[in-house]
Amino acid sequence: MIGSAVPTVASTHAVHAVIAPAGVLVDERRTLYRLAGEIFTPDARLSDKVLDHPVVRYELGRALAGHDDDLTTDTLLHAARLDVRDAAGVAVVSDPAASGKLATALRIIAPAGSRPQVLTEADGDRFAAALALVDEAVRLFRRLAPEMSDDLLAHLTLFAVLKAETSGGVVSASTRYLPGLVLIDEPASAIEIAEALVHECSHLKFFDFAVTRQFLDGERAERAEHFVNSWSKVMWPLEQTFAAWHAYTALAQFQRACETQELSPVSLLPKAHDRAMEIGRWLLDHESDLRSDARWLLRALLGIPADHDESRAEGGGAAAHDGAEPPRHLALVPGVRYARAASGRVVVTKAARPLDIFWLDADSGWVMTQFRVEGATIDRASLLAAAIEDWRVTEGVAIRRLFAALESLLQTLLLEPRDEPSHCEQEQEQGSIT
Amino acid sequence: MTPNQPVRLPVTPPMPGARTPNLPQGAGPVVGQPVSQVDFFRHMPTGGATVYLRPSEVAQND
Repeated sequence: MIGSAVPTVASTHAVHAVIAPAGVLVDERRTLYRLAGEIFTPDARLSDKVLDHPVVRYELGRALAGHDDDLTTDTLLHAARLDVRDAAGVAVVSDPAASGKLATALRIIAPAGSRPQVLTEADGDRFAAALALVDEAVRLFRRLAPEMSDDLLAHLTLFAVLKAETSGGVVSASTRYLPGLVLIDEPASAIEIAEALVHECSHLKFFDFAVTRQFLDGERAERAEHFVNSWSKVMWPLEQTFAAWHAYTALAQFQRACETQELSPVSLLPKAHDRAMEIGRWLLDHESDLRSDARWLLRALLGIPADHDESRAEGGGAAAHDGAEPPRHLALVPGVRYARAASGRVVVTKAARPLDIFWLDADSGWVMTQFRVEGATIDRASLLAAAIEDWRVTEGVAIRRLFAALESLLQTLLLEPRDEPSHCEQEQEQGSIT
Repeated sequence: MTPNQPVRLPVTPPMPGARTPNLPQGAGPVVGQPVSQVDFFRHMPTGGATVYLRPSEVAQND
């Protein structure tokens, strides 16, 4: 099915944009983290800049994983205080205290027996030289692959350079625990930095897809068969396999833009296409372990027609509605919080430890936003009338779309049936959905 | 996006000189799953990093 020749498929940035343009994806990710901030640190009003910070996202991610006992506003604001210098639009860590402030990231990415340290302004000319190379590399990346650089750099918040004598062999690294952060070894050339940006920012993009779109089912991904690559025989779990395939695919595309460049001795670009194909073949054989957006991305970047029936089978939406009528009266379950992104999609959390997190499509999100007061009951007929008006569709179309949305919201226990309210209550509640 | 528009988002218009996308035929991503759960924070695999090491450092784990 997949040949060894370079496939004539769309560019990665074009395929990514069909799922969500970078700006949409970043806004949705911020919406999720902002909601988490409102839940765990209700007195904090976190700016976009703070919400993008990898250490802040680490702290909020821990809280979302159920470890929220010690999270305070001060923790988040302190974490976000990290001096940086600009390199052609990329924030390069310059803070002399960076190795302490990024200690978690450094511990996670450290090869055995090493203790990587961040190169900072305290290192004088060495830092200045590295900063100048990063600046040159960002400009080079933008010149060689302008659309790809826009698509990938949108997910980069912090760039850190490691001192060569401490890096322990790290060429480049990122971690899902501190998304938005890329670390590289002290560089020798602009092209090796540009390659690292392609490689690691592809991972950052994957992290943003994973928290906003349908990529992997956590439990299923952990149970899934592991992939063993042919070049180092290392065994990867499904999430890492998909992330590696995604990065190698971008590197293979970038390699075609680098034909006149002298590559670094440790460049992955000459190997990227073959490795992307090897991993891609394996993923295609295991695509039933992927969720719908990941399956679609895999097939789109491999140049294979999407499986129409399969895409619909997992999701469904309006097409999957089985015709059963939802209850006549509905209410939000207690402890539900939500926020709407600029795209119209809505992220919802439901009280649990750890919190249950859901993304709703536009129709389901519209339903959710009709329940403006916790505990309020809305009758189905009023919802339908409002849907016909807001969606500007016929009653039949509104019924199909509304019932599909209600069915999913009931199945995921975000809505619950209610007994018919008294006449007085009904008048009050109907007034709340106009 | 208004509620009666499809959920699928448009492709960003290509810049001058960009490669023409040749997207596969068939369903786009997510025909419309109304509700999808996020597991990213709940199930954190051991390690959690993607690190590219120099080939001389024994193992490349990415």
